[in-house]
Amino acid sequence: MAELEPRVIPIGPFHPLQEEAEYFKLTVEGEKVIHLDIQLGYMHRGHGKICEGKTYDQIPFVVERICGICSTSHPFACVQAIEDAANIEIPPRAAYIRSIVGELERIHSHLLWLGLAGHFLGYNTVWMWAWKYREPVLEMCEVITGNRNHYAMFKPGGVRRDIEEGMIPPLLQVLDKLDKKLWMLTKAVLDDPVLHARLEGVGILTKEKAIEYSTEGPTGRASGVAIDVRKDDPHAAYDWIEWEEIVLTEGDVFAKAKVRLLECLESTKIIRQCLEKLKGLPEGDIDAKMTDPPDDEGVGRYEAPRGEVFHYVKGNGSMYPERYKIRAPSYMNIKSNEVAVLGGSVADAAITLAAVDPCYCCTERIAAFDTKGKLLHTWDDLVRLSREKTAKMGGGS
Amino acid sequence: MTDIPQNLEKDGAYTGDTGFSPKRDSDVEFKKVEKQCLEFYPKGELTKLRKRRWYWEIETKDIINVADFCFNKLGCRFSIASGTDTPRGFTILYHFSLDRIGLIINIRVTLPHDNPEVDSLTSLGRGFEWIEREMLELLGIKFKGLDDTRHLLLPEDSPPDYHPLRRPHG
Repeated sequence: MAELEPRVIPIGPFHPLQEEAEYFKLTVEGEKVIHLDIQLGYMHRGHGKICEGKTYDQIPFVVERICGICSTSHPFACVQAIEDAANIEIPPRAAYIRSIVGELERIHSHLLWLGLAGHFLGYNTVWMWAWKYREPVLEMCEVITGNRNHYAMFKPGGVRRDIEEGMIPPLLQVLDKLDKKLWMLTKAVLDDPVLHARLEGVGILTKEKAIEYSTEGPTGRASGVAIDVRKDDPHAAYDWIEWEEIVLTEGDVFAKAKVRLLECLESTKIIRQCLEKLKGLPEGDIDAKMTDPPDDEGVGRYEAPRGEVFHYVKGNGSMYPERYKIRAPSYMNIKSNEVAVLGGSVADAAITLAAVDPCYCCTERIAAFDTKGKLLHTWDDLVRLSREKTAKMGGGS
Repeated sequence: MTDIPQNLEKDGAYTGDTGFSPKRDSDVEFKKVEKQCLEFYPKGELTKLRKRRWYWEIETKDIINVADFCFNKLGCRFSIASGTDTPRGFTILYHFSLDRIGLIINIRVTLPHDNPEVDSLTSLGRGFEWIEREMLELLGIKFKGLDDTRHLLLPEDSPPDYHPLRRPHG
């Protein structure tokens, strides 16, 4: 038999599965992946440079646009960097509200990843269930902030909107229901023979490599690297409530899924405690005014769903920062694919490359209004239209 | 066939081997790290701007030694590096995160405008590669020992002397 020559399989620049522009160049020998080259830069928008032309009040809104899914993680790190530089403390009520919004985002982001992971494997049942339970989380976000994504909640010194007393009991009710569903989903996924067969032992990232590549978030924690900025460098309300850091040692894609699922349950714990604590604090005390622009440099970081978001700001006493540096967690995590994908089969590459949860934007909801603001299609209308179309195509009911 | 850890049902969550760390807020730990730093590199200027944010100014030629000390001896994680074009030269801040106690050690080196060159840290770990490639193209800082000098963020055909984060000084 003739020796196999290495071949190159390009994935990208437009990824066929993740609607995102990045280029993976897989070198394969038969079915086995022997080398991976990653090329970035298709999405570079220069947010750091844009921020240098914005005032400190405007920057949180600019960085919020970096990503649709971590739309609160970047402002979270950003306001902390500015507060660190200006040396101001935020009121406790603002700290609790920050944690609530941050954790809601974590749940919906992890469920989004789980759904997509199922979709990548061709197992769309997981996708539908995960996204179904993601919906009440987005609705909670909408109740609290007015938006399902891009919440515009954070400002240097505190938050922009309060959570009123009357909103807390209904939110707790939704949370109770959500908890049950999350439990069900977690057990179903962890017990599923298909997912076990497909994900266990796939794309293993060892602890040594996880440290060498400085990976973080669920990618690192699934490989036994116990780092979580919420625990290690306490901020907002994470230090005042009880929750656990999830660390597993297997390092495969299944462990990454497990970390994320278990973290969702921790997040509901955090949100519940924060909402309870809010009841005892005076309403309206949500903003420690930042009077002077910072003159120093500051570092802010936050544990986004994907890992540590890192923002560095250098102030010079004017309204504009002198230097603004942003580093998203995927920057460190994606590079670790170089080793995780090696030795595996080409068929596993798609899910391995997606296992670090590379960040991309997502907007999946439409609402059609006429020019006078009247809603054109209700949910039932949309379902009916969809069924009619399917029937027309000869696909059954 | 179930793979749910036994204590998952009971306690509501599976916990790893680390939980709350009593070391995190201990002043003794911070003093110990400070002493280790100063003993290793007494020439440097260590500014403790906040309790968990230290800035450590060192000489450019010693970067590999000091970074190796932070990364391998102290057990820091490399968060990222920020390069800035300032009137007195290019500065690079290497942000090392000591997660055990939640400390960020920012190591600062300053490079001259006419020949900005510094040793590459890729020999310590592959995690340093992308940010060095980024600083190479955006600021034009040369890294001695960096093998892969392709563009990371800029288009492949952008001219070699185009460095968008450089500023006019004068």
